[in-house]
Amino acid sequence: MLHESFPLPARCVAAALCFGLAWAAFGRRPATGEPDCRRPGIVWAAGFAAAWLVLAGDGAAFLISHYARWWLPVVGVGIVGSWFVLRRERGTPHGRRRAAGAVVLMIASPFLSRLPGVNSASASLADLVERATGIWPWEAEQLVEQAMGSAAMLLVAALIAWAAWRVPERPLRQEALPLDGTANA
Amino acid sequence: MTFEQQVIAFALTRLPIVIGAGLLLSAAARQWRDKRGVASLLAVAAVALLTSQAAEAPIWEDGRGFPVTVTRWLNRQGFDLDVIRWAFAVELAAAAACGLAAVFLRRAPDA
Repeated sequence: MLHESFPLPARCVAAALCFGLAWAAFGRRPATGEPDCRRPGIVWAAGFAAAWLVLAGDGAAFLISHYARWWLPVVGVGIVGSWFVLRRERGTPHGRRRAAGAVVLMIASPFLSRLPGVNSASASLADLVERATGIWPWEAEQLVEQAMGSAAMLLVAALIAWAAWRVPERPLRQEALPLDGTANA
Repeated sequence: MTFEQQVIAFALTRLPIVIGAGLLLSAAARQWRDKRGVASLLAVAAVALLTSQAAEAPIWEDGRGFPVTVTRWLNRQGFDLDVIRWAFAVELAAAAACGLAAVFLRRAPDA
């Protein structure tokens, strides 16, 4: 697979190059007098290619492994949601900002659950639960693993509820008045 | 498990889910009158979140005092264990999709 011949730092640089070049060529807002050559489809394809470059190998292999594959539907929903977050055509700015956090959490939670810091934290939490209650060690480990998943789901639910919370309607920003040289003349 | 152990297990693994569903439901209740679509999507998300976590909930005890969970019951009805687990995983994803749809239902006011 890719991760044997192409180390992760090099893949990150290649992904940044791939996306940056595509954005520079097809994604920039045209300066005044420049022809509009924006092609959102190409920029999106480059973005997904960059994400694949980074994930290919370790990340993809982990995602389809026995432990993480139950997260795949949620990760898919998160990727679809990121489309709406980035396009900025739907939803209020308030809602979009909170939903962005929920989307990031949805995509990243399977990977976060395997971080060494999270692992050691859950091990010490399992130790604490075991000593405080006398639950069998393997039961405590399972319990803490489930608790981590529940905490992630609580965070996502709270972010979505906050994003959809009704906020008082604010009047639209007034458009800047056109500069008029004759106004003060 | 003793009673206290069961209480701690509930507080660690189930209480966050119940709180999250409650937050979604309260967000739905706030706008039930004027934004019915957003509110019903949020309510569906809350119910789907709750039921997607009910796979290990015991329904009744069999003759030997052994709890029959939802997964075991569905398995006895003839569903494959893998199919049941995928169904609950997809239900959780559907809850997330309903929540995001509630956020992005309206067009942006400034776009």
